[in-house]
Formats: sequence, structure tokens, C-alpha cells
Amino acid sequence: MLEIRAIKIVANTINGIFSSEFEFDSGFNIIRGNNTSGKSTLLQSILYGLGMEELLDGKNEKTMQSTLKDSVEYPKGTLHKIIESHVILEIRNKETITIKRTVINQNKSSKLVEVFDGSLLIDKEENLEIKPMWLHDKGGASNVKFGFHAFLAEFLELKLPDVYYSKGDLKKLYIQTIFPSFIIEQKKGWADFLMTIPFYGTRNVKNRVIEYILNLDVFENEKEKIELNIEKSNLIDKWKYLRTDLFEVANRGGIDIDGLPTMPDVLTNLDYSYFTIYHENERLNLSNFLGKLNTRYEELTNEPISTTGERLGEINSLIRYNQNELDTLSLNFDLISRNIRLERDKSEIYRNQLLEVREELKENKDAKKIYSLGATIELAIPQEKCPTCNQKIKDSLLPQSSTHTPMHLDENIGYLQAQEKMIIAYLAGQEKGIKDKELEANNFYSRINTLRNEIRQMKKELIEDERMPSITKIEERIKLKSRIDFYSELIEALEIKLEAFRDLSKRWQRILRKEKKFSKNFFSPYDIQKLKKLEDNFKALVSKFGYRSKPLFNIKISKNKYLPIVEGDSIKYDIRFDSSASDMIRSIWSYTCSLYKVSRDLNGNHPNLLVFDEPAQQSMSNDSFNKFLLELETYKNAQVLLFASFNNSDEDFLNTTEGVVDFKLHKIGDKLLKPNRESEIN
Amino acid sequence: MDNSTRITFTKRPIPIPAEYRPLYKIAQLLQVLYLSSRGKKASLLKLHLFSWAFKSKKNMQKLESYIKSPAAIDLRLWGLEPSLNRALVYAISDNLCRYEKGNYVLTNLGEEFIELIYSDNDILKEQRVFLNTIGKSVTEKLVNNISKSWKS
Repeated sequence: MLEIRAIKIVANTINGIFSSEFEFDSGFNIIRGNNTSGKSTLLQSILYGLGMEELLDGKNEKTMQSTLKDSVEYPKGTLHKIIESHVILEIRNKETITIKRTVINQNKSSKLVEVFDGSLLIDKEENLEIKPMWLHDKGGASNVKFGFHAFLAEFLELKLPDVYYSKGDLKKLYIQTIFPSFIIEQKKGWADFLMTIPFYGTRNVKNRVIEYILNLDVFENEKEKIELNIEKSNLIDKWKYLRTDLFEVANRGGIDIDGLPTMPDVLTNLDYSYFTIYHENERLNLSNFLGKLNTRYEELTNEPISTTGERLGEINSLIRYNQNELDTLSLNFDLISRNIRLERDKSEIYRNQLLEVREELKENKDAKKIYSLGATIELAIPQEKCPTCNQKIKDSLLPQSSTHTPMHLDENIGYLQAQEKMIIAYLAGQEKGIKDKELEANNFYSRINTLRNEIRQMKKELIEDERMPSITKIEERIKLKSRIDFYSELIEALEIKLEAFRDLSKRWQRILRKEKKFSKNFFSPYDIQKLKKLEDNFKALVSKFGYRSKPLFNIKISKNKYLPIVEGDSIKYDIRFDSSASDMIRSIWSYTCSLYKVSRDLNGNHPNLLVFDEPAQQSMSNDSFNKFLLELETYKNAQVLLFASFNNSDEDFLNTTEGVVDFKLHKIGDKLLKPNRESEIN
Repeated sequence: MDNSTRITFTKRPIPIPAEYRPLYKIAQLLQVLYLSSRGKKASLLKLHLFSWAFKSKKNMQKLESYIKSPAAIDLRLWGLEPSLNRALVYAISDNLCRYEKGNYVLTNLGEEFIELIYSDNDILKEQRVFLNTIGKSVTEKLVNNISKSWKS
């Protein structure tokens, strides 16, 4: 609970002390004052005493009106310069404390707050313990001993929750964010629901505040939702990393991977049918490939190894065949190597050209700068006229008789830039072409080497003892065996990685299932009850106050934003759109009151304080305003502070307060601050 | 049959090197007066020499080496440029320099102009560095010596 018991505003001027003091009732208070009387100053001082001036869009004494910073005007037209000023605010939760905060003081910072452990204003207790605290500096919200806001949150037993901020960090909800839900300030507070929440980078701050005030369970769910998102993005990263890893392993054996999603997915058939390899002009999947190799190996082992003598004819023709192959390949290799050299030379020429163009470009840009500097000191040359006879001259030192027109500097620069672009594009194309050719060349080169080795081997065999077993055949067997071994090992390695993928896939499934649970409308039954009550209260009040813009039937409370919406046949929109200005004001009245009522009846966190500053905005009808006041009168468990000018008219005041009996009236005279001997407790 | 087809040629403007821009050339020359001449004045021949040097990095290096060891470098291959004379005429009429007893002298306005240019560290950077390196060591005497070698 937060009860504002009393406030005293003091200004020490060169002509003496001016002050103003108010004692508030624990129920309904109406503070009446004309528009220029200092009504706003009074509310601002209350906010200032609580360290809540950020609701007014600023920090410290900046937000206070000049009447507390520069000079006091009393009576009208006479100014008294302020030497020192401060605010004393007495508040109560279970116990009473009094807060003293400097506005202007040469020796004290406005960030400093003194907290008196008792009632300084009403009971005038003496010898109270004073604790100094500070505001707004680092740690003010978390340091319970010296940070005022942390202290205030504890004093009011607020139990503020941890929420997520835009940078992804988890911190306490700042106490300043909840105040706009029950304090509606004149300048900005009537523009929208919870309008004056200061910016701290809290994610979805309005949602968090309403969830807090109503004490909704869904708040915990929001937190879990965010944690789930973090888990999700971690998994996506792991997946990507694993995929890159997998590709790297597969590449070692020239294996292509087909169909493995780049983002996590539920994979049902995760085996190495994803893997294929190009073998003998065919694309086979890995198991088929291994099968083929094994079959061939079987064939080889079952074949008796023929002797060299038996194979002489075969070997000879093989050698001839391979030799032809080799010749063709060598020719191709030479041609392509020459081609590459040519292209490289071309690139070199263009690279040199690029350097020249860039140099020229710099010179031209320098020239441009020189010309504009020349124009600033009003030389004639930049204006292209002869300094002596003022005739027009061409912008060049070529003979004036020359029939060529030089480009203007800007044109020239553009021309050079276009050249630069062209050369760069050309070079890029060249690079790519050269790379492709080099790849091809490497291909030829390795095949040439392989063939050479084979031919050599075969030739060796020709001069071997005819009775010796054919080495090439033996080698073929050995090579094949080692290939089979290599691929078997590779498959094992791939299998291990696949296992990791299966694992990730399962975790992904789990995350997706959890996500479904957290669909937007996952409220506890208690939450649903509270939101229903909010909606019912809102509709009842808004109708009571005279809302006409939309049929009541279509008005709902949004399950996403917890704010009033209008539900059409197929669309929903904020009640702001399509409500008249005065109806929007009625909506804010109703919503603020409904928040309180639901919290009161269903165990919310509302501090049971309502503050309205000039609620009769937008030419509000007296009748509607009267209904509003009658409603506020019924809130026996809350303190209400209502500041209004009643159009500076006694008649309006009487009309609007007709039937309202249970309130304490405070009147602000012409000026808020009066000389000490005159100021009395209002 | 009279099938006269008309062919038209449109004369397009041509790009020119920056040093053919009057004010650019003038700025080049003014900096020679400012940085490399005693008394902020120089002869026409000296200005031609520097104009040749500014044409390329190679030329600037050659001049620098010549100053260090005149015997080692053959500096005969440099020439005069008619465009430079034109630039000087403009410079004089715009009061950036004046002609006095055979020399071109930097005026106050010219000095102001060159300082304005120098306040941007990027403009004429290489030339500025070059001039700062050789200081005032290219004297009129040196220039005369170089031009003497033409006669041989």
C-alpha cells in the first residue's frame, strides 16, 4: 500500500521563506485549484519526493517548475529569487516515513534523499533516525541500504519481479515503470494507456507492468518462453556447426551430401542415404558404392593371380592404351596452362591500368577540392572567366584555339569512376575464369601422374621373370583394399556425426513441443478469471461514464496486450482508433480503475493509490465527470488524489461534485507558495 | 534513287588530366613558391623544372637523387610545357602571384590560398611530402646548372 499522508514544499528566498503544506486523507481527496495556481507543481513535488520525476520525462530538478527553481511569485507580479528549496513528503505503508529531497541547494545534490524514520509533518516527531540515500546513480535500484528506489520498493513491499531487457539480460523491473498504472499525469498521461512509462529497454514493458499489477501467472511463462528462444538459437548454432563439420569429413572422400537441412529439423530417416559419391560415371549412394567396391574385391581375390608371362599380351595393349591417354591429357594440360598464362598477363595489364585510373581519380578529386576552396576566396578562375577581361574561358590549359571541349571536373570524375568500376568488374571476371581453369588444370595434372605411375609399373612388369605373379594385379587388389578400408573408416566417422545430428534433431523436437505449449493464450485459470474481471469492470465503467463511440458488445480486453480493443467481424484494433477524444479519456479512467478493482478483489499487487491530474480533459461533460467522482468515492480501500480546476468555475465544481460527499477538499489559492506566516495547512 | 542517309557526329567533351585544369596547375606552382623558394620567389625555369617533376613519382625521385649526387643522375631529359605559361598568366591576373625582376613572387592572397589548401591534409599529398623533403635545396643556381647541360 502507498498512502501519501502529507507534503510540504519549502522555498528559501532572498525575501524570506515561502512554503505550502497539505495533509491528505486516507480516502478520497480532491485538490482544487485554478489553472495557474500551482496545482501541477504540487503533483510534481509529490512525484519528486518519491523519486518518480522520470514520469515527467527528465531526471532530478530539471523536471521541476521554475517556481521551485528560479523565483517565487507572490503576490502576482512580484518575484522573489530562490536561494534554496526542498520537498518533504510523508508516506505510509505499514509504517510511516518522511522523505526530504533538495530541489535547489548549493551544497546538496538533488540526487540525495534523506529518509526520516517516522512522521515529521503530521505528528511532528522529534529525534528521528535519518538515513541518507541516493537516486538515479548506478545501483540505485538494487542497493537496499543506500539506493532510494531499492529502499522504496522494499518499504512498499512491492516484490518486483525479474524481467528481460532488450539486450537479453535479466534484471529487476524498475519501480518507476509501475507508477504510470495508477498515476495519470496531466501533460502526457492522458494520451494513451500507461503512457508515461520511462524508457529503460525493458522488453514488452506494458505487458510486464500489467502482469505485475494483476499478479498474473503468465508472467512466469513469459520468462520460460524467452529462455526457450535462447535454447532454440543455441541449437541452431550447434546444428550449423555440426553440418559444416560433417561436410568437411565427407569432402575428404569426395562424398557429396544431399538433402541435409541447413536449419534444425525433425529428421526421421537419418542414415547415410544422404551421402552420395561419383564413381565410374555414376552417382551412387554410399552403401551401394561400398558394395560395389567389395564385390570387385571379391572378384579379384577369387581370380587366380596370373603370372607375368600369361599376361604379356594384355600388359602390352594396356600400356599402349594408357600411353595414348597420357598424350591426350598432356596436350590438354599444356593448352590450358598456356591459356592460364595469357589470362594472367591480361589481368596484370588491367591491374596496372586500374592503378593509373585511381591515381588520376585522386588528382581530379584534389582538383575539385582546390577549385571549391578557390571559390571561397572568390578567385575568378573557378568561375571560368578571364580575371582581366571577364570573357568566358574553357576550364583547361590546352590552347584556347583547340576545338576540343574538356569535360567539367565533375564529369571527368564520373568518367574515371565509371572506368574504375569497369576495370574492377573485368578483373573479377578474369579471376573467376582463371580459378576455374586452374581447377581443370589440376585435375589433368593428377590424372597424368596417376597414369604415369601405372605405365611405369606395367613396363616394369614386362621385364620381370615371366613366372612372377603379375604385380599390377596384386597392386590393384591392394589399392582396392585400402580404398575399402578408407571408406569404411570414413563411414564410421560420419556415423558418429550422424548420431550427434539425431541427438540434435530429438532435442529440436522437444523444443517444438514445448513451444506449442507456450502459445499466446496459455493462461492459468486464475489468470483467465482476472482478465475476465478486468474486461467486465472496464465495460461496466466505460458505459457508466458515458462512452458512446463503439457498441459495448464489441469491446474486449486483448489477450496479447491486456489493453482494451474493439473486436469487429474479423479484425481487432486498439480502442484508441475510432474512439472520440473524450471517450478515450473515459477509457483511461475506466481502465485505471479496473486495474485497481481486479487487484483489490483478486489478490493483485496494486499499491491501492490512484492519482488523477486534470481528468476532465477534452471538454468532458459534467455528467460524465460526476459519474467518475461517484465511482472514486466508493473505493474505501484506496487513497485517491484528484487534482482539478473545474474550469475555474464554482458552478462547475458544484455540479460535478453533486452527490459526492465522502471526500476531503483541499483548496489551492491564487498561488501555491505563500510566505511562511501566511501559509496554513489546507 | 536518292537514298541520302544522314550521318551525324556529335562532338563529346573529352577527359583531360588534372594538371591541365588551370587552378590545379596554379596550386602546384604556388606550393613551389611557398615551400621550396627562398623569399617565396622563383624563376620561370625553376617552375618548369618542378612542373616536370610533379608529372610522376619517377620524376620526383630523379630530382631528389640529383640533388644528393648531381654527378650520378642524367637530368637532361626534361622539358618545358607551354601550358604552364598560360597558367601563370591566369595566376597573375587573379592576384595569386606577381612578376618582378625576372621572378614570380607569391602574393599574400596566394599564400592564403595555399594555406587554405594545405589545411586539408589529403590534397596534393605526395607533392607536399616531396617538397618538404627537399626543402629549399633546389636553388636558382642548381636550376641553371641543370639547364646548362642542355647546351652540351
